[in-house]
This record gives sequence, C-alpha cells and structure tokens, in this order.
Amino acid sequence: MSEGIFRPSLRKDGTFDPECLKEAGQSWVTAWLQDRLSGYDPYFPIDKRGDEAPSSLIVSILREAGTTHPSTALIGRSILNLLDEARKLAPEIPSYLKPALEISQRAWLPSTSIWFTEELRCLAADPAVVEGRWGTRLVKEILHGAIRQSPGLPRAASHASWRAILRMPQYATLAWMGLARTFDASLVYMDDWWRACPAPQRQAELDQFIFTGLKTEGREQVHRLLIDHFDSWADDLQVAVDSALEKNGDRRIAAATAFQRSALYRSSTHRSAIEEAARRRESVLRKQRAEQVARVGM
Amino acid sequence: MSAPCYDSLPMPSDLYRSAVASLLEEERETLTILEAWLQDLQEISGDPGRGDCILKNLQSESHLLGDGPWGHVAELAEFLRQCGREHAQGVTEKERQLGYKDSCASFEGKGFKIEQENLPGTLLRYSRNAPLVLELIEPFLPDRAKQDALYDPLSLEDAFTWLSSASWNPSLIEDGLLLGGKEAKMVFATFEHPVGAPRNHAGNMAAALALPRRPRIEEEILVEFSYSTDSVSNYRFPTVADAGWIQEFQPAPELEPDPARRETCCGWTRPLGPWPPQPELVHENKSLRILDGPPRFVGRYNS
Repeated sequence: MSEGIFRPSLRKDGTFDPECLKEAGQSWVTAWLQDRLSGYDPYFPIDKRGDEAPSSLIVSILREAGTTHPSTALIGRSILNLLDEARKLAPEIPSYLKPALEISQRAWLPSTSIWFTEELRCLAADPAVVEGRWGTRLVKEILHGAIRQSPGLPRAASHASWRAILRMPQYATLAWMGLARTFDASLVYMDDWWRACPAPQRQAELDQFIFTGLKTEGREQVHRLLIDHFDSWADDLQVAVDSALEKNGDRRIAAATAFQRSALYRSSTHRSAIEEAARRRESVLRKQRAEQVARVGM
Repeated sequence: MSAPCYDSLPMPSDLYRSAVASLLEEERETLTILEAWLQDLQEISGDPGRGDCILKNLQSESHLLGDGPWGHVAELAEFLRQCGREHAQGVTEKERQLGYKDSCASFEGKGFKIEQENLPGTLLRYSRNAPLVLELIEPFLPDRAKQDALYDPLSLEDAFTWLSSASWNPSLIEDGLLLGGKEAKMVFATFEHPVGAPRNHAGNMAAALALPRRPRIEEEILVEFSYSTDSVSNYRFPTVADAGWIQEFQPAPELEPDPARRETCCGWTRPLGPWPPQPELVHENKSLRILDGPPRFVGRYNS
C-alpha cells in the first residue's frame, strides 16, 4: 500500500467493526460514504450480481453501533454533509442522494435532524419550490426520512410544518406518521388526516393503521383507544374504522351497544389499572429493598 | 444438465494466452504490472485473497469474445489493453482501482452470445436490495406499509403478504425502476435446472449463487424476480468484465458451447457451500415492469 491511508476492518465473522471507524476521522468517513453511496467502494465492492444496495452495509453498521456510539456520530455528520452538498447541487441529483436518504429512513442520525427540519419548513411554506428542487418522488423519500429524523412531537421545531403538510392531500398520510408514531398519539390527528387524504387511498391507509395497531397494541387496547375518540369522528370516518376492524377480523365499534362499549372500556381500563397497581407495588418493593441494602451496607 | 468440471481446466486459458501473445511488447509490460498489482491488492482491500482471485479469474477468462467467433482473441486483447492503459495512468490507488472498474464497465455485455433456444422460457433474478424491493411494491401498498417496514424490518414480510393478495398490475411500477441499478447496462440472471436449487432458503440460495458473504450484513433479504426470457434480449456468457471487483464470480470453463451439451451453453456459479452450482448469464438491464408476477420473498439470511 503506497498511500498511508486508513483501512476499515472486518471481524472474523465478516461483520464490520464500528470501533475501527473511530480512527478514520471525519473527512475519511465522508469520502468513503460519498464513494460507496455513488456505487464505488474500494474496500467492500458492491455486489452487482445480487444487486446489493450500497446503503445496506451502512444501515447494518449503524444498527449494531447504536445511537450513542462515536461511529454513529461520524456517519451522521457525513450524511449531513452529503445532504447539504446535494441541496447546493439541486436540481441536479447526485447519485449518492437516494442511498443517503435510505440510510436516514432506516437509522436515527440526530445530526441530520436540522436538514430534515429545514426541508419540512420549506415544504410547508411553498411545496412548489421543494417539488421543483427535488421532484415529487424524492420529496416523498425526504418525508420518509423526516419521519425518523425530525418527528413532529408537540414541542418540536418541526411540529408546525408537519401540521401544515397534513393538509396537503398527496403528503397527508406521511405527515400523519410524522406527527405521531404511536397508535394512541395518531388518533389525535386522525380526523384532520381523514379530511385531507384523497378518498381513493384513505381506506387502505386506515386498514394498515388498524392492522399495525392490533399487532403492536393488542385488541383490547386498540378498542379502548378507538372508543375514546369514536363519537367525535364524522360518520364516514366511523364507518371506515369499523370496516378496517372487520377486515382485520375484529368486531365493529358502532355495532356495539353503549353497555357493551362501556363494559369493554371498563374491562380494558380495569386491566390497565391492575397493571398500573402492579407496577407501583414493584416500584415500592424495589425502593424498600434498596433501603434495606443501604442499611446493611452501613 | 449439471455444471462442467472446473478443477481440471488449464489456467491461464488458451484464449488469455493468445490474447496476451497478440499484445505489443509495451502493452504486455503494462499488463504484467497490472497483474503484479492485483496480486498485492489484498494488502489494500483488507480482504485476504481478493486480488489473487480477481487475477485468477482474469487469467481463466475464455468467453470475452464480443461478437467474434469462438476462440477469437480481439475482444479480450482489447480489454487487457484498456486495463493496462488505465492502470498505467492511475497515480493513486483509488485511480488504479477506478481504472479497473471503468475498464470492466466498458466491456460489460461482451461475453459470447447465448442463443435463446438454449434457454428456458423463464428467467430468475435474485435481489438482496431491500430499498429497491420496497420501492417496487410501494404502489401496491398504502404509504403506511412502507413506513412500517422501515421502522420494523419484519413488517416487510407483512407487506409481501398484503402484496400477494393484491392484484398484480405491472403498469403501476415506476418506469425508471430497473432489474439492476440505473447505471448497469447488463444484469445477472439464472434459471431453473434439473439439479435444482435451495430456492426456499435465503442463506442456502445466496450460497448456491455465490453472493458475497463479506462484509456480512445482518438480516439481509433475498427476493426472487421472475420474467419471461422473451421480455429481455442480448443473452451473454457472464465475464470478468461483468463481474468487476466481485471475486466470488466464476468464469465459464473454456468449452465451446454445444447445444447437445446444454451445460456448456451458459455460465455456472461457484457455490460457497455444499449446494449445486447455478446456471448464470447476463442480459440487458430492463424495467421491472417485465416481471410476470409479484416478487417472491425468499427470506432473510445472516440472522
């Protein structure tokens, strides 16, 4: 090797060792990522036969390293540099941009948040300018990245932008996801989303929302949360929610009598209360045990 | 039909020897320098044996013939000339590596022609490209399904369940989505053959296809695309130029294609495990709209 440059290494099992990047330095990581995401990697050639995505290795490194690892910060700053560079080049689209967005969609890179927040602000203010810069296809990719990097929690800098984007029919579902990731929080924005989303798409989106909710929250919790909001929704949204529940093999809410709803609510609330009591008891016992240990130690 | 025996084949190939002999003295010298550089490449790549494998593959090449007849050296000689020239012009390691990559790119799709009558009616391509697969199935699914798959990789399996029940309409696929990357002129493909393949096990299938194992990427997916042979054109033997820097590639043995011996009418993989070699060819890169049905999710490997 004639040039005394840094060389990344693999472990015996063939996985990339995130530790090694700590010695690489910021400029090396940025240059490596720019080359790799553009399709050229001298260290780990990109497999054309199996159509390897250049971003996959980087996502794998980030997932293993975790958010607090120094290598994640290095990669995050490099991705931010590439995104900044792409913004300067727009409307020319450099080949590394799409893979860089793929990474942003699949791993949390706190340093890129500022870039996505700025894109959201521009989109909220003037969608035509942003679409002219990137094209509508890429705008959707940017929004998928922004959902992870710049979520619109109520006090976040991006919140107002996401609220404005929620009113844009073509981006309404993405904005709904940007504003809330949990089932519970999503219900707060569901009525606004329902009114903005184009009619031919919204039932399928709702079906998917209920499907994921049932999978992650469980049937009773989903019912309890839906009942909380159900009566405040317009008739067509109520019908759509029931249809989504039925498609997912569940019973409709509108069909339930007030008594059944209340029983269901009580049953799940009762269960939640029992769980909460158990948690409180465990916490008190832990505290008592800690005090006991402290006393013995003295 | 099974793969020809590779072990007893002479190396370098007759074609390589003849191509080198046809070069001018100074062209042979630059090629010798390139060969020595490839042998030392393991020190640069951090992947022991990579340069050596690439060199052995280069010297075994016998099907880089362009449109010339069997045994005609002109195309391979021109490839070697360009590789040597690019290498000599490179000042840094990066330039030298890019030089080889660019030389390969210029000679993609220059393998010996494969006649369509020697191929079955359906071709298969295996992709490990999760972002491409998500983009492909996106028009058939709600926006939420893509986002769910991005957050929870296991939701990709759910997305495929939804997809198989949805009506498949290739015209919904974005026209710019291709079987291979946007820059690829040619793509690799395989097909079903009597010896078979572990098609329902992602790890074993990846090994049978000799897809690179290093670096190991956790939870990698494998998806099967199926399309009619008629829907693509320019079927060729895969060559070292098509494979570029991928050392796992196996050049076809130096046997003149004979329709009576079907195994000589395509390339074969060098499996990374006890699985049968798989037939291999390259053809033009084409829109994913040619798929004859939804992609099949084979599974995840490296988990």
